[in-house]
Formats: sequence, C-alpha cells, structure tokens
Amino acid sequence: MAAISPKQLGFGTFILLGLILAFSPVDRMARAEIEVSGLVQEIAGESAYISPEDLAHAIIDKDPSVIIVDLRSSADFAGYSIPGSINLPVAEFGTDRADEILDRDKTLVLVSNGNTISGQAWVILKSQGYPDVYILAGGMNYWVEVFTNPVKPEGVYTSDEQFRYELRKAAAPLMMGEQAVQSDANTPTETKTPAVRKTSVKKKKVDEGC
Amino acid sequence: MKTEQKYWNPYLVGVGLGLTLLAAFVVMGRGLGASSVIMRLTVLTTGIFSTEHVQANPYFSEYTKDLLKDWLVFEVIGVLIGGFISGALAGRLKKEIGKGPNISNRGRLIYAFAGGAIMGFGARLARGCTSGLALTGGATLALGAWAFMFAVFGGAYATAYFVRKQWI
Amino acid sequence: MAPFYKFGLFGDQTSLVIALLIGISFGFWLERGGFGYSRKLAMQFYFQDLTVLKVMFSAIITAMLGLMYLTLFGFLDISRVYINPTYMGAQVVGGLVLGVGFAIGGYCPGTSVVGVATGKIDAIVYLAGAMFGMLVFGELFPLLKNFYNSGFMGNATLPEFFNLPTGLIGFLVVVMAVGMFLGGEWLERKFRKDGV
Repeated sequence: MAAISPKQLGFGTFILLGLILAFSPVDRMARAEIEVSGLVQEIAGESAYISPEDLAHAIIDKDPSVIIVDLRSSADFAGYSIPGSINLPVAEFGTDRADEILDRDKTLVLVSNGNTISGQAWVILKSQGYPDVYILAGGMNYWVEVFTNPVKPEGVYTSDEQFRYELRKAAAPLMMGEQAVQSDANTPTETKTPAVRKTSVKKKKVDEGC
Repeated sequence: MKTEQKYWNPYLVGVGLGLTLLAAFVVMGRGLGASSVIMRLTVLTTGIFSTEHVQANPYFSEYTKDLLKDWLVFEVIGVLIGGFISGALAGRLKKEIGKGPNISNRGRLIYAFAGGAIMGFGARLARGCTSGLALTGGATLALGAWAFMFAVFGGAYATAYFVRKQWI
Repeated sequence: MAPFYKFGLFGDQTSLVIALLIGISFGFWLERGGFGYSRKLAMQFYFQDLTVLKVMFSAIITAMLGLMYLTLFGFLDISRVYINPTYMGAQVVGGLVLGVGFAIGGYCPGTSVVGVATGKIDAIVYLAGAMFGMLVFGELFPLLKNFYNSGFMGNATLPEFFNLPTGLIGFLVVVMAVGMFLGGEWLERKFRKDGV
C-alpha cells in the first residue's frame, strides 16, 4: 500500500483548495464584475435613496422628469398609492409594459413596502445601466407614517427638523387624501417624451432551475 | 452475456458531476435540473384531457409557454441518452425492479408510485429537487438550497425505518 | 467572460444543443455512480452505502470551488449566474416531504430518469407517481399559494446569512464535506452487511 492513497490525496487537494479560498478576496472579485462598480457600497450609503419629503416636493412641483414606480402588488396599489405613481409589480420586470414605463431618460423612484424589494429592483436597474434610479427611503410604510401623523419635534430641535415637520404637515392632506385629483394632474406618462436610448431589456426568465 | 461492471468510485463520480454542473454554470449561467421537466410532462398530459383546465389553473398555465422547447427538457433528454450510454457500456441495461429481497414486485411498485407522488408534491413545493435545488443551489451557496438539503436527509432518515422491509 | 450565454456568445438554438450535451454528461455520471438503481440509492438511509452522500457533496464542492476560483481569476461574472431564490418555509417543508418520498420511492426526479434509461420498471412507475403528485400540487395550488411563497428571502446565500466572506464559507463547506466523507466511511464499515 502506498504511503498516500489517491483518496487521501483527493481529500487533501479539496482542503487545500478551500484553505486558499479562505484567504482570497472572492467577494471583492465578484463585486468588481458588476458593471456599475460600487453598486453594493452605494446601496448601503445614502446616495441611492430619496426621502419622502424630497419626493413630496417633486410631486407638488409636478416635476415631469420624475416617474414614481410602485413595485407592490396591484391589490396593494389599489388600496393606497402615492399620487401620480405607476403600478409595476416586480414580477412584470422584463415585459414590454415595464420597458415602456422604465424610461431611461427620467428619474425613477422605486417604491415598495419597505426597502428590500425596491433595493433589489434598484440593483437590477442600475446594473442594466439606468442612470437615475432612487429608492424611496423606508418605502410605503415610512411614507404613510410620515404623512398621516407628522410628529412635532420635541424639545431642542434644529431649524431643519422644524422645517421638515412643517412640510410634512402641509403636504399631508395632499399626499394622503384626494389622490384622485392629484394623480389626474400628475400622471407622468402624459409628459413622457419618446425614449431615445431605449434598448430592449433582456427577458429574465424566472425559472426554478429544476 | 456481459457481466456487469462495478460502479465507479463515488468521489470520482462526484467530481465528474461537479465538473458537469460547473460547465453548465460557465456556459449557460444556470445549473442542472429535472423535476420541472416532469412538471411539464404533467401539464402536457393534463392538457390532452382538458386544455381549458390547464389554462385556468394559475400554476399549470405558467408552464404552457414553450412547453417542450425548454432548456431543461433538452437537458433531461440528454440525461436519458447519457444514462443509456453508461448503462450499455457497463452491461447494466436490463429490465428489472430495484428492491430488497423481502418485498414482492407488486409491493415495490406500489411503494414506487406512492414515493413518486410524495416526492413530486414536495419538489413542486420546494421549487426544485435534489438536482435543481440541492446540487445547483448547494454549489452557489444558496441559503434555501442548504436548508432544503438537510431537510431532505432529515425526512428520508426519519422515514427509512418504516419502509426498511422494502430495501433490506 | 463567462457565463457565455449571458454575454450573448450564442443564441437560444445553440443553447438547446448545449443542454443536450450537458444532460448526456449528467446522465452518464449519475449512471456510473449507480444512481440508476433505487436500492443503491436507498441504502444511503440505512448507513450501509453512503454513495449518495459522497457523490452529492463531492459534486457540490467541486462545482463550488470551480465557481469561486473562476470568479477569483476574473473569468466568471457570478452576478449573472442563476441563484435559487430562498423561500425558507416552503423549502424546508418541501424538503422534508421530498425526503419522505425519497425513502419510499427510492429515486429522486433526476435519478429516476437514469433508471428509466437503464430499464428499471420501478423508475417508470415512480415517474408516473411523480407526475401524479405534481398534478395534485397544481390542483391544490390556490390553497397552497401563501405557503408556497412563505419565507421569501430573495437570493440569499450562506455568506450573506452568516455575514462571512465567501471564500471562508467555501473552506468551511469543504471541511464539512470531507468530515462527512470520513464519517460516512466509518458508518459504512460499521453497518455494511453486503455490498449492494
């Protein structure tokens, strides 16, 4: 019998290869391959998000370059939606309708219940080269919280906090009630210009691999 | 009559399978699978009896688009061919029923059908089987695949004692 | 740059030919390991023949190491490789159910195809059973839908879940696998009565 059997050699090779990996920057290399570099770092920071107040400003200003994409289910969307937002459940990504809504020339604001789904959609769109995509910070949960019952800052507060509170209070009826009037006046599709750089998004088939 | 050859060393087979899986990842960006093809066959068969029924069911209708022109369908046809080639080379092609000595053919086939039905149900619930979820997801370190894998072994070991007559 | 298909190196038609070739290799290796024979598979659950464990984990660590090294060398864009989404509730329960079916039926869907290819009657019956089970699942789907989608965690992976570097997780998986190989061989020596 040989000193080392083929099996021991094989096991040893596996362990050795694994050991090398344990000290290798696999994660960094994996991230480097994402076309838009630093996506992962970006989503952890603030630059990927838009606050409810900023979005409210855009809605009040009827900014035509902003498209609010609501990623929740159509049932949730029917229940309550941000004035002027368009419903596009994540499952519909890759369809023709999605390509039409997701205009590369516009600023897209992604809305889901929290940050998770919109964060995932954000990564998808960013890696497909969409330049201006933002996540509504805190999603619908936070949006509703902010505008249904604005909390007056207590004790010592900065003028900034005071200003935010005033805005929330002022915008609340606009954001939470009478949305029909608002959405009519502010449907982004009306002002949409034909997309110039519209490239077909490769259809991502959701299959189970099995 | 050709004598049956011994099966190859399991670790060697594992490496061969692993390289096959790796090839699928590198070339296609996806792993292997099997159970969704059985699902497609089910939809196909059901569709023969009632097309409306298939279309009305939210689960079946997902599979009707390109029912047979699917990557995994071709892969499974390949599995048939590959299994046949290997079996032929090793002299293992023969009509038989795999079972232990203490059970009748009929009994074994009833077990096979029941086990198949249970597994078919479980595979759809888990969105995959041992090849599509445990193997493929295992290699990509998918969290659900690892949980699934240990659940499979758990379920099987828990049941094994009660069906031992079938195998031992 | 791999995956080739995702970078558009060939079209859908070619991909089906590749599917066939990869399938042939898959089927060949499964049959070589004895996975076309239900009793051999089932002996796994009586500690007499741990081929399933050995083959499965050596396949997983081979492919996993390959993926990691190709990523490390910048040859593979892992973000374009399909990662099975995690639905924790459905997958754990589905796994348990599937395990029960495995012990009773003696095959899993992939191996039953190999069994059919080599003429095993029980594999054919098993496949028919699997189709029946899936039919039942489809019929009950409206009732099961909520559970089917339970515990959704996106494309969660072990490194994310444990918050450890991917390479380190890879090493731990290899150590665990080799540990299981050695433990499995010990069990075989203890339990084996006759080779199957």
